[in-house]
Amino acid sequence: MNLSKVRFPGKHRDEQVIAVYHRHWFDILSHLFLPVFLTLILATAAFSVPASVPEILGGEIRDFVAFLANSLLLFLWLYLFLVWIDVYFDVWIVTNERIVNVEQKDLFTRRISELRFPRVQDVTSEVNGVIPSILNYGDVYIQTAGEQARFIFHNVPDPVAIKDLVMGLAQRKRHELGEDR
Amino acid sequence: MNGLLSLLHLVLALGVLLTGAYVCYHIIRYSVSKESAIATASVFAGVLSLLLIANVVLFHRVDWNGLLTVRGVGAPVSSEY
Repeated sequence: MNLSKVRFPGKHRDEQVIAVYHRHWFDILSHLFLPVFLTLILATAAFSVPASVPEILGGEIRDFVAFLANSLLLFLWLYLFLVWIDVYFDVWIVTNERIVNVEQKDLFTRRISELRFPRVQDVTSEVNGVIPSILNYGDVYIQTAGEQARFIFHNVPDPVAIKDLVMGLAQRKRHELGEDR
Repeated sequence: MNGLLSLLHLVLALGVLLTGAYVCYHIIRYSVSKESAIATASVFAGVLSLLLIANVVLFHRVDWNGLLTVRGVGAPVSSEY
């Protein structure tokens, strides 16, 4: 991804994007499991049933079953993208000034929050479970001095690297502002 | 009966179209990368259009009268019966 072309609401003119994080692919896949599973079942049935019992799919019933299968595929395709939007559009953008979190609550609700580096107090990464440990994804918690006590990256890849990046940027910003003396 | 089914199918197709348009808008408007937004929206809209066109064609191929007519066992087979 070309980071200079990354766009998000409220981006400042001279702001440089350092990294963009989405949820880990396995976390996205786990949300898409149901529609993908249903699509596979439907596709298997559409191919195997007419081949194994051709006599039950004759004449007008055959057309009706084809219409029904197509309708189901149509709704599954829509459902797949509705779920995908819900999970893939949760995004964390680290810039040279701040961290921006765009959180997709549902199709009609989005929440955008930001955290400026001088307010970062402590950063913790957490990998919890067998699959997250194998695939190296988890949460990153940022303790802040503001009203929103914790800023959370949910199920992001390589949380330790993100923790190090945020800590490094926060320390650098504090150093620039002379707050570390 | 056919008119009612056609109306129901039209409402469903319009619902699918509206939801699809909203999903496309969402992908294009809120994606962080413009290139990936265009690619994703194209794939989504392309497949959705194909499925929707196929759905309309298949709907009109179904013999709804023949399918929905109740044929009881022992029903009269000729008018003189």
